[in-house]
Amino acid sequence: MAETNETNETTGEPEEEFLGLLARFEDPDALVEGCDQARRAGYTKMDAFSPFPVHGIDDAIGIQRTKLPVLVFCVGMTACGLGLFLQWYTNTFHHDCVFPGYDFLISGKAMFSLPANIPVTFEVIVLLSAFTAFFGMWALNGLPKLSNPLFRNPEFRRSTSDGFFLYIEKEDGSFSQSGTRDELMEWGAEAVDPISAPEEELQVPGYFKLVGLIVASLLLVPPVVIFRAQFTKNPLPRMHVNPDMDRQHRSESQDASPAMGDGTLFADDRAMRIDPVGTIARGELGLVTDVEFHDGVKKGTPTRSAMAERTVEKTVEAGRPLLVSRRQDDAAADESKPAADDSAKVDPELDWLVDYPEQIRKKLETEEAGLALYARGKRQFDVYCSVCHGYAGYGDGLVSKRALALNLQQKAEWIAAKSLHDPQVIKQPVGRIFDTISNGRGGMGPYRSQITAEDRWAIIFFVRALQATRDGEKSDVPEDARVVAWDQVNPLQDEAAAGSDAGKEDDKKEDDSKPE
Amino acid sequence: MSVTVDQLNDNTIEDPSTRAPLVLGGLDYKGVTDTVSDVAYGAAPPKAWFVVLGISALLMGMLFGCVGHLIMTGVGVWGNNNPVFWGWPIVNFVFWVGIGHAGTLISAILFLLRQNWRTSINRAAEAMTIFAVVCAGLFPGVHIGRVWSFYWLFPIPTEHLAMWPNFRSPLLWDVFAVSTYATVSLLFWYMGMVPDIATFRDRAKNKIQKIAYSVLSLGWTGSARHWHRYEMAYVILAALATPLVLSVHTIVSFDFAVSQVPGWHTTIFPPYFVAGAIFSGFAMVVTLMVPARELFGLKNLITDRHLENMNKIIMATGLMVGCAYGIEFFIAWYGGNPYEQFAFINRAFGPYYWAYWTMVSCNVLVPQLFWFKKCRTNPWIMVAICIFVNIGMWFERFVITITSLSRDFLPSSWAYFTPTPVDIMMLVGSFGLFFTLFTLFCRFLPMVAISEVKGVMPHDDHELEGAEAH
Amino acid sequence: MHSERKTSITSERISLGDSSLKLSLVSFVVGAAGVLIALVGFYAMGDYDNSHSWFKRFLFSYHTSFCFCLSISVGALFVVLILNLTRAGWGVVVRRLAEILASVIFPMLILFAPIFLITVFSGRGEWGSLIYIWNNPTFLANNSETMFDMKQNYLHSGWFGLRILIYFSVWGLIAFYFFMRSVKQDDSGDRQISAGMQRMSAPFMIFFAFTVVFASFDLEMSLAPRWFSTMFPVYFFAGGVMGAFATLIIFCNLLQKNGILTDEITDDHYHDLAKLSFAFVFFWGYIAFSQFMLIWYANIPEETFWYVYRADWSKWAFLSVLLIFGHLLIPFVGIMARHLRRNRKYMFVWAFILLAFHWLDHYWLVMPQFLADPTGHLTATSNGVPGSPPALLCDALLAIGMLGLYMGMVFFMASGKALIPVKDPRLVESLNFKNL
Repeated sequence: MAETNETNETTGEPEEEFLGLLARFEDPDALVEGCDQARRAGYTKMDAFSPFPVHGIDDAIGIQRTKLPVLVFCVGMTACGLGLFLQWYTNTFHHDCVFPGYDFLISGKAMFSLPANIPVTFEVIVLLSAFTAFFGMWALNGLPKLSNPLFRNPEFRRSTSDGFFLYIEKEDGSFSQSGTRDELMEWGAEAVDPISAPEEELQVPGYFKLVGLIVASLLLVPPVVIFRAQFTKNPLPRMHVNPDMDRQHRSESQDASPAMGDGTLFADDRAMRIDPVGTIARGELGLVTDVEFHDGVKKGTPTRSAMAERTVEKTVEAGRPLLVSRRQDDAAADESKPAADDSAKVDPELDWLVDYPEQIRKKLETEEAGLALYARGKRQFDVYCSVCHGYAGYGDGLVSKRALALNLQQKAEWIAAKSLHDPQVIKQPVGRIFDTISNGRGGMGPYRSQITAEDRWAIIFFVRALQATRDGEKSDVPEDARVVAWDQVNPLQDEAAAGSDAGKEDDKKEDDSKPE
Repeated sequence: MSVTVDQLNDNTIEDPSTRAPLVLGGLDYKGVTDTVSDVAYGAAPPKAWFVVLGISALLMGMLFGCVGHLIMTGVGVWGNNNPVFWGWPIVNFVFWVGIGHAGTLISAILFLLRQNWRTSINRAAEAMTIFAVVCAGLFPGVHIGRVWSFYWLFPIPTEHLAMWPNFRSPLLWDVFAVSTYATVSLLFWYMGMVPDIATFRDRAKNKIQKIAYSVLSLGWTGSARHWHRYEMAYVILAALATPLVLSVHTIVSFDFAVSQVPGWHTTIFPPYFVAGAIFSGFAMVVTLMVPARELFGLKNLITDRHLENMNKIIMATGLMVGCAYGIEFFIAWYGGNPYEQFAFINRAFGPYYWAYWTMVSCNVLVPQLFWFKKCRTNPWIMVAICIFVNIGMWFERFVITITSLSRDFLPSSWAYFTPTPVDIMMLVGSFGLFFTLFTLFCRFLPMVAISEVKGVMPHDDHELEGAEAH
Repeated sequence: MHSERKTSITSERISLGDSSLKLSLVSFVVGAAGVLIALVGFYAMGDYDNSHSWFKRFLFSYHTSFCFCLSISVGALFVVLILNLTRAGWGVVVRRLAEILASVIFPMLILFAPIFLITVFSGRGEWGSLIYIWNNPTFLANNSETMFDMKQNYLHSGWFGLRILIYFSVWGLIAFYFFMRSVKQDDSGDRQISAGMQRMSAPFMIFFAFTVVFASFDLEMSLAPRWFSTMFPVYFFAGGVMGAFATLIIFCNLLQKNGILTDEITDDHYHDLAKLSFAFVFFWGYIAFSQFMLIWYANIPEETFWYVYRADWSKWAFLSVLLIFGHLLIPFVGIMARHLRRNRKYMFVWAFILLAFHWLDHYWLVMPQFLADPTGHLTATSNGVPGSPPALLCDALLAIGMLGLYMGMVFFMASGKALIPVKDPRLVESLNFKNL
């Protein structure tokens, strides 16, 4: 069209410009025949038009096979790589960068699990290939193009119903207006019409452009606002366009009991309910019946939890609240504080077990099981205890060292981990050590939920062995087991700094490899 | 290979020596154009059209009301609860996605298999596919709870959170599969429609039609060079859509089958779901096409033979589904897993026995009527059977989802699932949405692929003469 | 450009003629020789250990190759059924070849005889369980308390034998029906025969489906009696149909090289055969992947052990990966382009590759079960692939031998018959068939 415009301007001729001849044929076969003749006559700048794809017309006009399939294949292969990369990156590549991936382990599958990545890869291939086929086809066809000189011929409307047309452009080398018309009639055309360019191009009204420009500019505002919001802070709370489930009529854990009338719903003023007395969770019956194994106290004597429960009962009986409700005012909170502190100070010295409980004793009957228990204890000790207590138990684990260093800089208030070779610890009965591991003591946290009871006993077994290697007498070691001269190891005992070296010696003896 | 006179009256007559004509009534090219474009340009649409549209629009309104209620209140308005966390919404989702398989199957797979009879029905079936996928997408779409955060489903980078979807989750595969399927189906449908919209454009009677159809037809002229690339793109899209259509219901079946829930974890699920999807989709096509061809006078294009072929496919896929039911039962026994065995016995004889036997009778027994030619060609009977099939296929998803979940590994949590009124209204409403879109499509877009039908019409002189002689 | 419309068969030769029986005899001799050499070879290599004798090794190899040939015929039977069921026009020129391939199913019972007799007639014991370990008392004793308990009555030698007879009878009946009727039409030219075959193909398809389902369970899945997968029949079927199309491509090429049916089978027919091979390559991949994915993802021990063993790099993982590439990815790209599919020589080569991988697929299904210990577990004692290079050579020889016996039957069936349904009413359509 641009070309047409130019011609009109240069020549300044008002009359329509002739572009080519449009011949109509009766049926598809006649069209194919006509096209065939035209091609043989040397015409190349021609095109056929039909309401449906006519079989054989490609050869008749001499249409080259389209490269679309190659294009789609290339895009498909690229999409395969892209799909896999997307999944690998987003679910595996966890690094400190702008848009890092997120490596979240789920259902025990590897971070990058090819079988699970195939469906999405496949969909990405299909989607991008389909886009290529669809948009590529329109692009190669030069569509959309809503204006076409042929549409000016009213007869041409039949090309989408029952008309079969052959159009030969005047640009063609073999074209001559009268000669071509005669040839077309000779090849079986029913009618031949000239096609000409429109006199002057219809122009889009100016205000259309203005309105379009304004609308387009306004459309840019929301994305800009959203983009800006990504990088700015706002002190106002989040807007709740739809409250949905953000606020609900229920209590969170550790909340105070909801208000009801003058008082609260629950007498003890907490929203969480304690289990009815005597409740035992599924699979935990042994926790109650086998106190030796699970609490480290002698059978028939009170356990730590029984003591704590008694304190709770006493507190409730005395009418003192166990918790400080958020709703209560400060004065009330101050008043109740001493009471709460009293109850927190329960640290009873119970009737500790001196020898291992029966299950563990049974294991020590055979050498094999005993060694297994030792190995298990050592492993669990290395996992859970060594970070603070150190591999050799001198209280010089890496965490402890670092925290003590921070203490010096006033950045932490760390209570040093206890050396397990402290005479106080050596003296303690196994039940007492078991209680320490289970419930924590001083600065140490409880490990009851992380380490199983059996493993806790195994750790104690290992700790006892550790103590024996550091604090024992020469006579403690059997004759046939003395592979290193006693004097070589023993002097190190007093120097805390040498503890880790001794630990290494210890490892060598056990023929075990361990990261330092 | 000329067409016999008998076949011009009734093209369901089997004669191995000829191919039955697919266009009846002696229609020529112009006749086909007129028949289809009269639906849009002819006299005002039949009263029934307005009635259907009115009722459907009302139901659609109810659906959107429910969706609004659900978004404002939360997904608790559904009956989903412990242990049946996947209740009606997933049943409806799988049901509608299944319906949505017929269109692409007809336009892609039957195209690759050169089944020429598909040309008269593929357009409406494709439209149906898209509308069904819209209905399907709605249910998981609102099930995510906070619909305004839906974009978290897609891998869109966020500055602070480093949040990405988990690509190892079958539910995410579903997001990709269904959205890809919807997109590709839309492209396929639209591309097929462009030459026919051009036909409408060239017959437009007023300016609005003219402008709308001109823009939509992208300036299509029917050039041989354009047709060449167009056909190539069509073949490629068909070749892509064929595995795609398999993949979609396969991935839907993965949602269930990758789990360890008895009755869900069985390896036959992918092809079994695909067969079931084709089964229900074809049944829906027949249900829609029989009244549509009556209302809009398309009986010469959508002939008895077309419907008969559809019914044969319905029967075949119905048998595949039946076969899969059998294999499942057999392997549940053969595999020896007591949980699996319980799940299947519970399906057939447990509290949901009524759903199970509804499913079996609708899906396996009723389609057997199609063995009789009378049932394959009588519009009333076939529509009745197809409605049964769709009921059965809805119940199939119900049985799979609900019976397995309501009896999980922990007997203490067993419960009987009860839908809420919102559940029921949303299912009914989704039909309203579906029929509203379909009724509008019938009136305003070319309902039959005009150019494709013309492509399979005989155009050898003697064949035309034979057809005109009658 | 406007080629003339063909109205009749123009090739000089449309049957194998006298050479058929001669070819049959040669094939039988080659086949018998192959099997015997393999037998001797396995004997010479000796036992693996007490529970894995050389003869058991031979039988497993034999079973692999038998299942391979059987699946091709079963696939061909499906091709015949579907061509009739869908009134297919294009495939008429190759339908007779498929009919002949399918017609040997029943005679193939003879090839199954060694395994059949051993399993059915020696009862529960060491001999009876050479192939099927569910027939071993040790296995039963070890698994009676597990899930296997209730399967015992199903996987029982007598009942198994009866089922095998049913499968082969049903297949034989269907195959003979189509073969006979089709040959009859060659003489009479009765158009109603085509209509009749179309009518019968629908119910036959149902019988076919059910027998294939249970046959695949019995023949190959029950080699690992504790394992189960509902997808398995589809897997067996997909591979078989692919094998059938590949075999048809080879047949057409060979026939045309020898001047038979030169005018009738055109590039367009090759194109369709190639497309269908491609489709079933992809379908096989789809089924194989789905089966693996579901079992891998759910990770339930009673299913995964089967794959764990096949994914172990010290055992079968190499073959598994080889199959992924050779049975799916490489052919997928290799047979994708249109001009390559229309190239009959190119497809001839591909057909051989596809068949080779189809055989490997059966090898992969069957052979890992060879080293299962009497408790049915594939564990410590079953160390490594049961194949030294000589054993693999014997496997290949046995495959060639089995193919020889199989082809002997095929040639025998083809004798005196036209290799194209000369009077089929849709023949003209097929002759003039033009592909997309």
